[in-house]
Amino acid sequence: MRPRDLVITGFAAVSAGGVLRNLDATPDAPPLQVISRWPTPGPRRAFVVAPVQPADIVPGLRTRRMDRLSAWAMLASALAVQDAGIDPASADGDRHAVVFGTALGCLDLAAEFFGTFRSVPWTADPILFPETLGNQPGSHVAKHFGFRGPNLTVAAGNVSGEAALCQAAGFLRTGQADCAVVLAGDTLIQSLFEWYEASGRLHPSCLGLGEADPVPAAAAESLVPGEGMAACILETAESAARRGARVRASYLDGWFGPGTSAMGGAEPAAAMPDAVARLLEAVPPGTAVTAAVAGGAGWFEGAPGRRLGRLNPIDFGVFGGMGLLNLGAAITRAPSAGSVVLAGTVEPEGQAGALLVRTGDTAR
Amino acid sequence: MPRPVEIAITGLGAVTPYGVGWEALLDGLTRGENAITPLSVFENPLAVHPVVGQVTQPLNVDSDTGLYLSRTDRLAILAARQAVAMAAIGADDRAACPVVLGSTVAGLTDLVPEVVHDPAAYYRRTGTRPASSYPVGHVAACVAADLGCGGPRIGVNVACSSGALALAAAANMIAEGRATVALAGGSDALCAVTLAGFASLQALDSQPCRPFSRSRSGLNVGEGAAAVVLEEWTHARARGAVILGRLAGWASSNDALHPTAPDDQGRGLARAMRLSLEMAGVAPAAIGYVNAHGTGTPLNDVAEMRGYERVFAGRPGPVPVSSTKSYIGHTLGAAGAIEAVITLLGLRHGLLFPTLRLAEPEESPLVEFLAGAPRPTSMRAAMSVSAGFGGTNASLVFTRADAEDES
Repeated sequence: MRPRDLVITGFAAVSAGGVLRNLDATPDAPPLQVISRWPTPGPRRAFVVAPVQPADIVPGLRTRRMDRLSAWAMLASALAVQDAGIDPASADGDRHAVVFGTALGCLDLAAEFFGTFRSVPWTADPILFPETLGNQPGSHVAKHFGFRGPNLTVAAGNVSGEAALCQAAGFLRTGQADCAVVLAGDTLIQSLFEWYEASGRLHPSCLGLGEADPVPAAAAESLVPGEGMAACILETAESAARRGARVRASYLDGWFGPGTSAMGGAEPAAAMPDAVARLLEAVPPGTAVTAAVAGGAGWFEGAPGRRLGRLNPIDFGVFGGMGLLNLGAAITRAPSAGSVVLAGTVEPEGQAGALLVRTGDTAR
Repeated sequence: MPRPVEIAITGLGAVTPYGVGWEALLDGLTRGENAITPLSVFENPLAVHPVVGQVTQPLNVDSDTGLYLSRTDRLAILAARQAVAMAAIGADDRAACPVVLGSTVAGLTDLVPEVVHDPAAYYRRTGTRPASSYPVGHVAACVAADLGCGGPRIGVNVACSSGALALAAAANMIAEGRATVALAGGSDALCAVTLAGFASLQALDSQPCRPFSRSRSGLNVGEGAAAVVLEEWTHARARGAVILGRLAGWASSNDALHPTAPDDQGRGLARAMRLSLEMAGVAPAAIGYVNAHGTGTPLNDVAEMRGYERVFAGRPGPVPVSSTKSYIGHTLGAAGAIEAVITLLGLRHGLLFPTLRLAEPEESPLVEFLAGAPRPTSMRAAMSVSAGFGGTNASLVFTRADAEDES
């Protein structure tokens, strides 16, 4: 099988830092926000997304009755498709895939649906039920654009973005599609925030009574919950060249997993070094590599014998799309065109993920 | 699209309403036993009284993962253990083995509405462990931890195609050279929330379902799990593994039409089937059996029939099709994986399993809806088809281990 070179030609996000339309500007580091979407016993903070009406930004987007996750997926994918210069009307929909990564799926409406059951017998809303399903964001995107190729939703905790990009690369490299909208994201709801709180996992800044403490860019022992959605367009170099698309980055490789101990078996502490070592096999010795690792600075190590430049990640909080968002932010802040950038995500108790790209080495 | 890699099946595992193990499944199917019965595994909070496919024996899982194990997790672990034991994969292969498992409800089975009414009070009462099993990815994490699988852990959440697409995703990983051995499948336990959802859509048949019957009136929800060990062919041969069959082709598509209803002409499903046949190098005429999605809902079954008519037009005789959901119900995120196992069992044991209760089948000159008793067959290739909410379609083509390409 002839390897197919893959490139990223579009990117957008709905984040705590606002709506990112493309990679032309470095995203601002978002401030911690006081949560107001549900009653809290005192000030509670997280990286939350300000209310947004997708149709105000991309006219024609119809998101009524959708979960916020689906609405964000529609908006982020529409902006990414615009950024990539894809005309959905003339695109071959059968060759366009949609791959969505999410840790938790459509939590807003799943909670609303579950919450309707207050007494026996349970009765339910038939309009609401389908919108609670985790694959609806990816399905709405497919329907909106007429993308009839492979459509997959994967769940891999906070490395769901890496998992989605890796699966999309698989569709493209095995010839099952030529272009993929890759999405990753999650929403934050009361039950989830209070689960973090009850588990003792929240960073003190999330619970402070006064002004928010400065949040460390990464903290291994505690976390700041986040929410949002990132979207990128991953396609074959041939597909991008046919359209004359601008290449934002060449996709070199990606990996995610729990790490493997010397005795065999999973070892979370080895996860990021494992991922880095795997990816650097694709990079010739002596090549400068800049790394931005989100989710736990204490867990970051380079591969043995390789020195990596460091790029502090922008903290958007912990959620399933953080890896993809981190990748976009890292691409905009890479030292120069042609830089090799490794964007990673660590889950202290789970898997690590990393994505390796070479930034904008091809002009339009 | 050529087949990117040769994939052997070296292990099967299942937990179904017939009990633990693929042997119980094969026995139940061969005997034509209806396993759809009035709901009894939990107290029914609904106004309706559904009949379901339920696993009534205790799901004892002695596991030291340290993780909270929901009913869905326990079903998955039992199925996966059987598959891995059957494949007899060694420690080195396990250390790098990805686990890719589909589910739709995961640990929602173990939660109560209080978790959204007053979450803090709920967590004070139960602790935080039950809710830790809510993410679909938790099922794969539990199985990987239980079996010492050290590769990537992925949940697949694509409604009722989840189980089939988990196999496809794992196959892609092998095709890309990211794994030589992968464990894939699906698991879903019965869940009152899901039953309430399908009841609200008026999609439940109050009696055992009648897929492809003109008098069909809905589906029955079921529970279960299945797991399959997929392995790069030369790796399986080199270690002397018993090869149970070949995953020769896999493909997926999306209708891009509607959140719940399928394309009534079956175009998306047909595209997935054609692509999987093309990848497999198998002609439509060589397919000896299709295990259908066959839910028993009025819209699904006719759309599916039209899809078969598109793909199998021009072959010498009608294509044999059945729905094994008529035995155990619709196991949602596990269905595609359980039906893949059933298809493989049919290939290996030379049996076609008919649809139960099929007295007045839909009529099509291109489709033979199997009814009556199990039929002996010498088929060399078979297909398993899945579809789901969100317009998702999946098709898997299996061939016997000794089959050559028949394009």
